[in-house]
Parts: sequence; C-alpha cells; structure tokens
Amino acid sequence: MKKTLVIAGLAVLSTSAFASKARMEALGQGSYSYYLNDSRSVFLNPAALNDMKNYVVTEWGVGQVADSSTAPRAEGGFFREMGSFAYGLYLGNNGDTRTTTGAAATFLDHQNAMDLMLAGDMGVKWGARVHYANSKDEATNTITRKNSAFGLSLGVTSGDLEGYANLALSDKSEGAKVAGDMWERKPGMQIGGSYKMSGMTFFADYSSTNEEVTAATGSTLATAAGGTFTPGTAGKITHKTSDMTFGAARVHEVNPGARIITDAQLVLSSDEVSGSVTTTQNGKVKSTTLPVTLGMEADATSWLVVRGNVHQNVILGSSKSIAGKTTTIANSTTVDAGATLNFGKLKVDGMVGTTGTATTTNAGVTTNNGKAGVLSTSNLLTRVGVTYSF
Amino acid sequence: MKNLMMIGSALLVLSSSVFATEARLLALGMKETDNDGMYYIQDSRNIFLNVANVNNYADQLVTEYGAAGKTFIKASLDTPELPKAQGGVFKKYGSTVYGVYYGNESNTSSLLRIAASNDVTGAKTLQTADNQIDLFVAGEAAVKWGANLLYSSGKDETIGSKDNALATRFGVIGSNWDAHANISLASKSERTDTPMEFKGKLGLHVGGSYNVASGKVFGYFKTFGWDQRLSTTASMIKGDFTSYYLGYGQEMAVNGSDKLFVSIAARKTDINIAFTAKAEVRQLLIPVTLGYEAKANEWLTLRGSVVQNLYGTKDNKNITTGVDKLNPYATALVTAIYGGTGKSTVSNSTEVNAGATMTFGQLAIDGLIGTTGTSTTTAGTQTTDNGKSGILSASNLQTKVGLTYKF
Repeated sequence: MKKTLVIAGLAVLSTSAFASKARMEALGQGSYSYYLNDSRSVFLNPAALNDMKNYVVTEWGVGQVADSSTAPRAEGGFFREMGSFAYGLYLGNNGDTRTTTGAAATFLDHQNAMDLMLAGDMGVKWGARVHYANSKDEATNTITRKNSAFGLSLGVTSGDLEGYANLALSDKSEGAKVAGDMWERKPGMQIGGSYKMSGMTFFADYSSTNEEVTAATGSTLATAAGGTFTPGTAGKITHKTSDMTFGAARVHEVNPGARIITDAQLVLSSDEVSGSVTTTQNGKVKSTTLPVTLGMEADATSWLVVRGNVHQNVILGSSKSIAGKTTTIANSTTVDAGATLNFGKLKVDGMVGTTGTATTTNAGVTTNNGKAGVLSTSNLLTRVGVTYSF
Repeated sequence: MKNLMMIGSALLVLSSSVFATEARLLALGMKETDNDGMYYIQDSRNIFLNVANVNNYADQLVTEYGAAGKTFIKASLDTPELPKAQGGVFKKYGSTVYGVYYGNESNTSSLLRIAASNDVTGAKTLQTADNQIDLFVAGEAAVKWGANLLYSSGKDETIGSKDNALATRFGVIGSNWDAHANISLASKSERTDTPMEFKGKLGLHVGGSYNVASGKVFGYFKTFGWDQRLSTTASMIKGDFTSYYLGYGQEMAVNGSDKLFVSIAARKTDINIAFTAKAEVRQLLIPVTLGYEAKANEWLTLRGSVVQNLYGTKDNKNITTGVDKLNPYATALVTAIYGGTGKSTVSNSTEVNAGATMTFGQLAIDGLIGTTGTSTTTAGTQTTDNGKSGILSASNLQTKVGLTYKF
C-alpha cells in the first residue's frame, strides 16, 4: 500500500513538474489539456494554480499577437505561493488575431496583454484570472485605432470534480480604414468541467463567440481573419462560433517515470456568418469530429524526458458546408514529439522532429521551424519553453 | 553554523562575480542602449555604469566575440545579432585595481553620429567612435571608488573623415548605496568629401541606487547636446537627448547558486533635432522584468527573462528621411529603437531572452541561446546567422559570446 502511495506521489510529482506549450502540443493537447496536469492548466481552470506554483516560465519566441508551433510568440510569467494563497503574473498572452483587412485597413489586436491570477484552498480549491489588454495607435492611417479587452476566468476543484468559466467580458477594436470601423466581440464564454472516476477522466467543454465587424461609411473591409466574411462597404457582419466537446481520457502510469495517455473527444463545431457582401459566405458551416489521441511520455534518462503522440479522427470527421455539402476531413493524422531537458529545478521543454528545410517567416525573421519528420541537431528543440521552479 | 553561513555567503559572492559579459545581462532583460549594466544585478559589465564596480571584478580578462567596430559605420549598433568585438583586463596591485578595455564603443554615440550624417541617400555617414580605449583605476577607502578615462580617435584622409571622443567616469559604492557620474568631455566627428559634422557638448549621465527592503531603488538622469551640420548649408543645427530612469529591482537568492530577479521601472526619453521641421522623440516606458538564473550542474548555468511594458507610449514627430531631415539609416535606427512618427502605444513589447554560462574552472563562456543559424541579418558588411526564433539549435548553441578568465 505504501509502495503504491509512493509511486502515485512520484507520478503526480513528475507529471505536474512539467510545463510549457511544447509539452502540451507534443502530447496532442493544443495549448492546454482538459485532463493532464500541467502548468498550462491555469489558462483553462485558474484553480490549477493551487497545485502548480513557485516557478518562472518563459516561452521563447517573438513579441507578436499570433502564436503557433512554427512561429511562436514570446511570453512568460511567474507564479508564487503567498501564505494560503497563490498568485501569478503572466505577460504576453495576447489572444487571437484580427488581421482584417482591405487596403490599409487593420484593426488593432490584443497587445502587451497581462494576466493576473489568484488562487486559494478553502476545502474547495478556487482560482480567478483577469486578462487585460489595451492599445492605441494614432500614427497609422491618420485615424485613432484602439483596442481594449477584459476577461475574467473562475474555476474550482473539489476532489475529483472540477469546473471553470472563462468569460470574455469585453473586447473591442475601433478604427481600421476609417475611424468608425469596429470589431466588437459580444461577451463570450467557455464553460466546462471534468470528473475523475475509476482511473478515467470524463470532461465536457462548451465555448462560444459572437462578434460584429462593422465597416463605417467611407470604408471598405475586404476579408477578415478568424472567419471568412466580407463586411464590404459600409456593411456589418455577424460572426458566431460554437464548439461542444465531450471526452474521456486515461493516463496510465506504466511506472513512476513513464505514462501512456489516451483520449477520445467528440467535437461538434459550428461557424455562422451573416451580413457578408459575398453572399456565398453567409450561412453556417458545421463539423463533427472524433479525434483519438494516443500518446506517451517517458524518462529516457535522469536528464531527458521524451514524449509524443499520434492523433487522428476516427469514424467521425466531416464538415458540412454552407451549400449543404458534406466532406470528410482529409489527412487528419498528425504525429508530434517533444522532449524536456532536466537540470534540477530548471526544465527546458521543446518540440523535436523538425528540420532546417521548411521555413516560416515570424515577425520579419525567417526561421526554420517547419516540421519535416527529421531529428535535427541544428534544430534540436523548437517552440522552446523554460521553467524554473523555486 | 556561523562558519557555514560565511562560506555560503562567500560562495554566493564568488558565483556572482564569476559571471560577466553583455550576454548575461541581456539574457536577464537589460534594456540599456549602451548595454552598460544594471543597478540591481551584480555583474562585471556594471563597471561601465558605475566604475567603482571595478573593485569587485579584479584579476580577470574579458573578451566579447564580434566583428571589428568600424564595419558597422553605416547601419548598425552593437546588438545581440551583430556584436562588436571588445574586451579588457583588470588587475589588482596592492589595494588598487587597474584596468584597460578596448572597443566598448557607445551605441548612443554611434546613434547620434549616424543621426547627424546629412547624406540623404545614406551612402555616406560620419565615422563613429573607433578603436576606443578605456582606462580604469579603482580602490577602497571608506567607500569603494573608481575612475575611468575613455579615449577614441580615428581618421580616414581618403574621405576626409575624423572622429574623436573623450569621456570620464567616476563612481562610489557605499554600504547600502552607490552613485556615479559619467561625463562626456568631447565628442566630434567630421567629414569633408560630403561636408558633414557632429560636435558634441558636455554630456552627463548621473545616477545611483539605494537599498530599500531587500531590493534597490535606482535611477539616472542622462543628457547630451550637440551641433550638427545641415546638408544644404554650412549652418549648424542643435540636437539634444535627455533620459530619465527610475525603478525598483530585487535580486533574490533561491539557494547558494540560483537567483530570481524582478524589477519595475519607468524610463522617459526625449530627443530633439532642430531641422526646419523639428525631429522629436518622446517615449515613456514602464517595463516589468522577471528573470531567473540557475546552476544546472557544476559547469552549466542557465538563465532567462521575460520583459513587457506595463505601459508604453511614444509620440514622435518628423522621423522621416530627406533633405533637412534624417538620413535613411538614422530613420531606420530611431524607428527600431523609439518607434516611427506618430502617437501610439508601443506594440508587442513582450520579449523573452535566454542565456547560458559554461564554466571550466577559471574560464567562463557566456552566451545567448535560443537563436538559430539559418536566419540571417545583414548590416554594413556583416551577415550573421543570429536571428532569434525560439529554437535551441546545436549548430548555433550560443550567440553574442563572451569569455571571462579569472586569474
């Protein structure tokens, strides 16, 4: 019994000690996981801060809005215990891009974003996160462009049960080609929770966004990123998205230094546009997928952890276009891999299996993060994140 | 117990003083134009901020890898992507430390000379400070004190260019405070094939820090004025540069070798050049910096930082190229550092840096990491492969490398 407890303790320790986007993506989880313990979990459920604190994390990249594994964004923060509370400050979590468009017409996105977090344990672990970004530009297009965004996240964890609500309370960009152009996000939400039972984690998540893009009189907004729509001249579009995810996952601890993860998720998505001057863009696109992820993470040596996953839609995997035509989502198989170099309290995470032949331009810098299935020492780790625990 | 504490403290001091070079401070978030040090992080590079720090870094030789400075005459400053070669030696005799250092040419000085070059095509610029030599002397009485003399001179008669600079630094370090006065006494550059001239006036950089709680309150005032020749006439116009800096920073020891760093500061920079349409820079930044430094094993130390402006605005005017305006290189440099014309918040200021020191006994090799070998940057005649892109690359393991040998 004692041995079991020790192994369980070590497993929790080794799992929760890891961090960074690279680990999550190497395990097929996106930027955070619904069921894996990782410091990235604070962006889904801020109550996770109770379990992962006293560390500094830096994600290498370039100061920008967009973020991807091949063109990463610089960000980072620290999380610290303070009596029975824990708090954190995270910089550069800039959110989505809105690279709309048309000649000399671009809205400001979130810039220099800041996330403040506070968590505590009162029998029930709770946490809260505030997201804030504010920017202004009077130098471009001889108009004033502005963006302000404010979000609030709340979460609780009680034993095997957890729940969270991430609310985008306000997010408005004013001014693109002319001063009256506007991109306004109505309050959006992401709510969900999970429950652990019999070694499994069952989870559900619902998220929705609702945004209006207005081209003022005298303006023409051509196309927009974050959706396919065209406000046109003095027009206004409404763009709504929703995603429902239901899933089950299992983390099988092979031994204290190795685990196999499996998850299956049913994802129902819709993307609806109305008001676009390109009428073929108006309507709803629906998709249904059932991605299954098989992953592993193992201590190769005392200083090296290797992980990876294979991910594919199984049985379900199709989208229905505005015209009502259904198409199977092709070639959904992906393989990712990553590694952590352990130096005591310091961990260097990254993705591996990339080479120097595919290039990506990241904020004016041409990089070689393109994935091509090669273990290349000249590109040993990409999307690097460093965590120092204290 | 007392002995153990003393040994621990001694090791802490030793481990701090072993590290050096620009790469370490850049990895920890230094954002000074001249890379001349940080008030709240102990490092040998701080001798260029407060010369009394020479007392803490005697008996060592420092070299910073890079290209010869003059190759950057046209377009570039000393940057992590395009470092300039520099280095020096510091030796203690009795109770006095002496030092000589080559090549620490000021980015501010270069920037102002480039800004004062009046060739609208940018093909010809004033010569920047070259073959600079810094002499140091420092000692300890009631307080640690230090003094420095900087001299630079260059000439190229084929184009009729001459440059010279003379400056001095004074610094003191008390038990819980320090102060410095760095004074530019003379700074002049001229060229006759395309007549242009830069003539500096008295420049002042005074500042210091005071221990408060477990951190430091620090600040400085920097001002410099100059005259520069207009392209179309022989008349001279005036320029001035003023910067105010106030902040609080803390260096927290996690154990005998690891440290956390945190700081918040406000920096106001004003630059004026009296063209007919006056070129103006007005920038206010409030950056917050979070950093760490950890001993990964007995020979490897890793460090990193994230910096972002909590508040950042600029309101610049006439940062444009043309006759009776800036030249193209000056416009590009000013825009890169302070932003272009117009009023706005400073976008995407989040910056992550990382670095490492490999220690081999008395020898330490510092560098920045997280750069790759395939993205290139070209300035002047230099093409390098130091573009940052978030990659740990074995073929470009360290960049902006510096080497320190203690003897």
